[in-house]
Amino acid sequence: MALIFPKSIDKYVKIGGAVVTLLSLGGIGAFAYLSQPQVMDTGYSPQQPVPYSHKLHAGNLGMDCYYCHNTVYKAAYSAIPPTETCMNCHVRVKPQSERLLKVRESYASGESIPWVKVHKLPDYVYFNHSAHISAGVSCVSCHGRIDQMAEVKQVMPLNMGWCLDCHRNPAPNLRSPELVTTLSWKPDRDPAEIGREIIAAKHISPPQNCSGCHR
Amino acid sequence: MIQIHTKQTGKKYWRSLDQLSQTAGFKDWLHREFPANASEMLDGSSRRTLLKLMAASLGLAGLTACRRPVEKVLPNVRGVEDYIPGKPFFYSTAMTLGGAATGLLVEVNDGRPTKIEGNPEHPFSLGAANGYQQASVLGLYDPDRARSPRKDGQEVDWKAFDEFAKEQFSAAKLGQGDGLRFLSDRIGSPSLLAVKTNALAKYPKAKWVEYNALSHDESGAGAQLAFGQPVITRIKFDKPDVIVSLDDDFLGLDTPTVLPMKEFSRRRRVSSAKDEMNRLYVIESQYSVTGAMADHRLRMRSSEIRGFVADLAAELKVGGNELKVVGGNRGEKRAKWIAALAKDLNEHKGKSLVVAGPRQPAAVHAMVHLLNDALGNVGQAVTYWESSTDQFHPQLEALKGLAGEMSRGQVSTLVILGANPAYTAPADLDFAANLKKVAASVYLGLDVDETAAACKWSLPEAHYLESWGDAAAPDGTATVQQPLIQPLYFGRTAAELVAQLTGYKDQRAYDIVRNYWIARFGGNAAADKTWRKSLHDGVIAGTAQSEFKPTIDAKKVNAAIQPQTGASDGMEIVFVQSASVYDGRFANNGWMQEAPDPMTKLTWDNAALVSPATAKKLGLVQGDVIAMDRRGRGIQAPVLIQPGQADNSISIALGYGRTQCGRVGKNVGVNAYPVRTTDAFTFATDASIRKVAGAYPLAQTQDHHTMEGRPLVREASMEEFRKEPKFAQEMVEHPPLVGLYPDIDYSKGYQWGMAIDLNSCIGCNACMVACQSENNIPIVGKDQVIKGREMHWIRMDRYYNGSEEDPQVVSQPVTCMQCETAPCENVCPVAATTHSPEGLNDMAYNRCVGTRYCSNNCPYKVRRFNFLAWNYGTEEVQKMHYNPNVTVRMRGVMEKCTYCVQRIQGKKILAKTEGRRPIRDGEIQTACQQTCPADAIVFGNINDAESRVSKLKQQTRNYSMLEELNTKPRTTYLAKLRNPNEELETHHG
Amino acid sequence: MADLAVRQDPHVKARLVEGNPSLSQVTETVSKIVESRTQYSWYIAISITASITGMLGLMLAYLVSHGIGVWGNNQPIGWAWDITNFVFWIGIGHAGTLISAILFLFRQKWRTSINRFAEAMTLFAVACAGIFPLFHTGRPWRAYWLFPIPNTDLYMWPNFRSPLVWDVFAVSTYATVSALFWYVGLVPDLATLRDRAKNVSKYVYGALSLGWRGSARHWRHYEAAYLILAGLSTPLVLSVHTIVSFDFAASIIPGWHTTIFPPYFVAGAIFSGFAMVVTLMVIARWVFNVEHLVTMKHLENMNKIILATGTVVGYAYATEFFIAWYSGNPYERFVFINRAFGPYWWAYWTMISCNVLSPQFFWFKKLRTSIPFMFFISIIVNIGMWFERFVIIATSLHRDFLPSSWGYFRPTIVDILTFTGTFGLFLTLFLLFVRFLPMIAVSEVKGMISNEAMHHATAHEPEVVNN
Repeated sequence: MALIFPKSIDKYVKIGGAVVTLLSLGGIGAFAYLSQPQVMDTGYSPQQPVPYSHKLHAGNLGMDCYYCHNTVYKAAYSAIPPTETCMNCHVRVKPQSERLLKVRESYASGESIPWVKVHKLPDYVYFNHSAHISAGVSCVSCHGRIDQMAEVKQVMPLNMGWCLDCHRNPAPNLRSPELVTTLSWKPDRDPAEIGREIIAAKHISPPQNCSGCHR
Repeated sequence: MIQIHTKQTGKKYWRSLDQLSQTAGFKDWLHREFPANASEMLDGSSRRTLLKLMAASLGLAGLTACRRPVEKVLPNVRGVEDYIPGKPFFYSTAMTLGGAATGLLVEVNDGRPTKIEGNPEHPFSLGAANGYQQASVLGLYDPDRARSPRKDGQEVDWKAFDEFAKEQFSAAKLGQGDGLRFLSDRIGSPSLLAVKTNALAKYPKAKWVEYNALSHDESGAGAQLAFGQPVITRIKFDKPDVIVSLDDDFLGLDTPTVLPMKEFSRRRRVSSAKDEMNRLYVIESQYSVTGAMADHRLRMRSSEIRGFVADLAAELKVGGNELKVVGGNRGEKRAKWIAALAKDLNEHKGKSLVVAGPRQPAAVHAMVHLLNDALGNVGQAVTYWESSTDQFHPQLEALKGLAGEMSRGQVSTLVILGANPAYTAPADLDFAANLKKVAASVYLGLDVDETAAACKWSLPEAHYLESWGDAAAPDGTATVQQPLIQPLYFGRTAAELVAQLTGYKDQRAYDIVRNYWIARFGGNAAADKTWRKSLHDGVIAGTAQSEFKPTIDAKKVNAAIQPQTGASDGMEIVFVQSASVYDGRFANNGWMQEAPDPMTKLTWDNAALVSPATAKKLGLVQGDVIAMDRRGRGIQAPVLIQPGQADNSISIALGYGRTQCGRVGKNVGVNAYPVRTTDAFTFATDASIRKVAGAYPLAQTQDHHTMEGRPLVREASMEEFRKEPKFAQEMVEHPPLVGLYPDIDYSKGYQWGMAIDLNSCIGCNACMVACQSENNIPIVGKDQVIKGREMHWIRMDRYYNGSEEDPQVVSQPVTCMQCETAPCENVCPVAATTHSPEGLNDMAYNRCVGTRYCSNNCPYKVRRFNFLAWNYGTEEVQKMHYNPNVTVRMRGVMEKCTYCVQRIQGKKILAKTEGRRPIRDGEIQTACQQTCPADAIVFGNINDAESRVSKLKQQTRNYSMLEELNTKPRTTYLAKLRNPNEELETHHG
Repeated sequence: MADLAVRQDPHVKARLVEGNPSLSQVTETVSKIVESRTQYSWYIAISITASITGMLGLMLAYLVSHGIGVWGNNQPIGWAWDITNFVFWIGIGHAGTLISAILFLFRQKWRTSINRFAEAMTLFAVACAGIFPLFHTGRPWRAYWLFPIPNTDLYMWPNFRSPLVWDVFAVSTYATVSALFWYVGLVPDLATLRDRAKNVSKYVYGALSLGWRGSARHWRHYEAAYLILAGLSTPLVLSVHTIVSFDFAASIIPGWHTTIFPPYFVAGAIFSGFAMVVTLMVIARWVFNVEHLVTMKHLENMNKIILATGTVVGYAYATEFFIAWYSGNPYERFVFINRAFGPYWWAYWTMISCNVLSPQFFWFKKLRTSIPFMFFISIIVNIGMWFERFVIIATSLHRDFLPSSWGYFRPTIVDILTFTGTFGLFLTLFLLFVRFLPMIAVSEVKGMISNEAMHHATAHEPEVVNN
């Protein structure tokens, strides 16, 4: 009885099988990797209408975050400052600068400056800045060293798993409230130890149930 | 003032949808689509195309992991004082309905008024608000509101009108104002009164007519009759031990404010067997919520009550013995009632009360004054205040006069301020037709309604939430009405318009109001402080009328009641206010249309309520259509069989069947005004009824009306309660309850719980609307309600018990019980609903995949599923009413009550930022609790033995519904009590 | 002529193969079905069923784009036709594995000529069933959350307490094992077809038969594998429907919360499964004239099983009622009274008459050996079993604890067309199966013939098996 397939087919079948398996495994791996927010979301750094440099203001000039984001410790949102805040200084400082044209225009016309949102959470997530700051979570923990960024960039994944990491073990991210905006602060001892003391003092127990963040 | 555009900093929902709705294509599609399909809410199929479009966006919604579209943040250019993005402001203001104001506190989120609450400082609110007030915020954002002035129906700009006004309203043209007439709602605004006075001074021959479709004319006339002068009657319902209500729904529709409910419920609080409780007798034709609260209820045609009160007066020997009684149907039951009432009233002289409803004729009201006087209730439950006017003017007469002048062409210029008279005026006045005879007719209204269509000029009115004004409560207590947002459609207020037309010294609403009050405050420097204080408090001190004791003329009263029109045994039609649309003005308000009527549970319709016996007599079944004809005028309405309705008496709600209305309310229900004439303004006894062909589907939210003998609402009489204080807990016996999974320890931290006192709960729909407003709950439309897909998180279950003819009624608010061992949690395959350490049954909408297993397994059936995309197709302006702290749910997910978890979290975070202090008892209020006019709902921390809720749960009346299922609900009920008079026992129920 | 003789001779008992076909004849008969030119009737048939399947696709697309609201489901009836259809199809899917696995282990020879057919049916039924759990969710694009996929994004797992998650495992396992079982069984016959095939199809069958040469070693491995798979799938036959029944038994709804459900559901499943086999077999053996391979004995045996399981089901109904009364639980009592005399009385009595009464006719040999009658009854039974699921699901939900929330369910046109569509899918797959694959396990039948040959004097000398 004549063979339909050459004997060597077995070899090819084996090889083919191996290849298919490897490919599918690779595919799954790639998907798993890409679907991670660390990969997809971090590093987002859009072009802003005004080339405002946090590095210059918060870093070199050492302005406190609160100066502009002044609602952050009493509200859920850390509000983007009104144009007025920029003009407080820039009526005198570099009043003619090209790069500040948009700001002056906005101030004159009353049209808001269309800043581009960098750190975005899904709409069904209710993050509250004041709660975290009063607990002693520094800006750094979520926003990174803003004071070293010329252009603001998302450095943390800001996904649920990442939030939960801290809500389950907040200690490493806690410091005394007056240090919250000192991004450069280096703990003199084990930060977790400091954190534990703060937790004990303030009875901090971050919510881990759904309605803590979803309402 | 905060500009609307700051809403940009507020939360935005369902990004994909949001993106989509930003695109020009979608926008103009909406605008193309909507005028096309009228009443889009009513017709499920017309939403389909819209949904299809939306479906595309869902794909995007899924892929949240991908890079997101660019989002802009638009901060203010100049900082707004004390404004913190995301932190709400609360402003005091007032809403006027039927000429009576209720003080409100309005929550403003980023420049958008989003939630109405009662103002605790206001004497007629005391922190509560009713459904109408709660829903008014939706009316503000109604996309169908009049957006610009119209001349003969064509949209024009204000400039065009201003020019017209300049030449039309000149002394040259109007002279003494012979042809000038004004028509408005009953005026509750002092500053508008000032403007009115000024106008009439300038045009001495002009007339100003006030008309309310739901007027209190008869009671006014009654007082005039009894005292020879107009007085304001102020009744304190927390005073009497015995109350007799003659066709007066004072806990429901017949009260302009929530105060009576507040006061009455105080006397229904029974904490122990020692406590006393008041006793309520209700004699009425239609089953009202007041009747449901009654300890004894006698159903009687409205037209027979006059005879009844006369007999009662005779029995009480009030005003001598010359009272002879004729007409009215006899009957041993009625006699027994009169005897029992007389006895009970006599035994409680000075601690009793008789009240009559606005539908009863003046004579009855006069007699009621006489009875209260004779029973020594004046100065106790009943007090009188001087009226601002010296003579009582019946509205109906005035309107009749106006219509006559119009028909005779004597009115050259007519200015109508709201109230939509072309729709609400009595049929025999042919008001709409007569309007055409008026050379220059100007209408100022919120909507493009029937009157707007009939007038030469129709102008957009400013909503009360977007304009300056002032308003007086029934006792005269004034409140400054502050704007919370700039007029969305450049509307003007009534005062502004009249001021403009009649050259008042101030032109802008703010000046009119402020200068009026500054003057009243004395115009000095202190006045400005008083002004600011009044703004803050929401009450202007010292504006209440003063009490006095008028002398009553018994002879006149007896004479008036004497010629009793022997009530005909013909069919009676009673015209009642709609619990949903009032007199028709809330017809385009979806929340109200879908808020079920407290008794019939009917939504999106009105119906002819017929008693079972009458239905049998006429061979009617639910959903049949009947024609009601009187003197050549007739309407056709669907039949709804209402147990407890008086026989041979049909009541029908006004305000439906609007023909000129927005998309929501257009042609919803039946217009009853065409058979309502000036001589039968409250009820007609000369109607002929016949069944006509056809069946009509009615959308009731409850289809089964008995408890099937199940111990859901537990009830006892005071006697039984005194004998057996624990009756409620002993009603159910069950074996020891063992859970499948290990118990969780809830003894630490905050543990939220709720107690609902069924003895105080009146069954009004205030909590339902408040919840809808607080939690962004969508409306679904008539078709979907019929399918059983309404979305209310809190529902008002209403059960009948006793005979079909004469049942007793109990109401029970049911919302998520937050079971400690929740059946829904075990069965959710994706853990979208889980328990919080504080005992809340959390619901993560964004995790839900929509298997509906949780809903199946919920014994209380309080979960609500988004069967279709209810929220799509809402226009941008409508989105402004959303509460930014609650996710707007998408199609395909389950949702439910979570004790307003956004409020809990908000306060917890506030407490944290305020030095991590503990949360005070009562600091967190759920939306339903806060608005409840009867204070029946109490929420708090059950771990704190001192909290109000714990105290209530310790009472012996406390029980958990379906506890035998071992669900351990956090919401428990306090059993209902009734305080029957043993002499009527055999007859009750 | 020969088989006539056999029939008339009272001393010879009915046989599993009639007319003593030679082994090659068996091969010939079965293979010819596949090899002969496609009849027009087949094209007509498949074009009809395929278009019905297309409609199913449209309905599902409509559902996903609009939401569950296009069905009649509501509050309180969260599950209606969707889950009813799911349980119905899963039930159908039971006979296959039962016949193949359990009867195989019990060495029931009569299974041989019907098992391939039944297994195929199982697969297709499970495919139809699988549609519903996915599409009954409000957000099917999120349904993958029911699978325990490790994720660093949310740190979320399914809720392993939920019977729906158990379902996911039960059904997917069942589907996989049945498919394997079916395919392994196919291999020798595929080889047969390969060897008889000309031109292209030879390569297709060649590839599919995995180089089967029928050597003793092959046969030994084959037998071993088949035995193991039979052993594996036997518990599955019981587990699948047991776990499906947990969806209801594990809830607290009166009428659902019952310990009797697992055995009751399994019995019902076998009941409906066999009914469906009979329905299809009766047609198939007539269309492809394999009456002598699928004999009256096969059909009669299946009818006996239908009778048995039907009675078990009837007993279960009775027990339910008794327990409801005996429990003294008012809610439980109410539900059962309501089933029989409430708004859905018609559904309940349809169920009773179809499932309990109709099979009883099979006590009579005359009836259970009458082709038209058994065909009729088998269809009645399937209708009845669909109603059983509807009664359990809808009537329990529509009136539970709080009368205020009682409701009523009416199917929409989409409900109906979707269900119809699944039949389209089922039949389409079937038509493809009978057209391109051997619908009777040739090798097994042959094996059996040679066995029988030993025991029957009248038999010919067995020929050498050469395929």
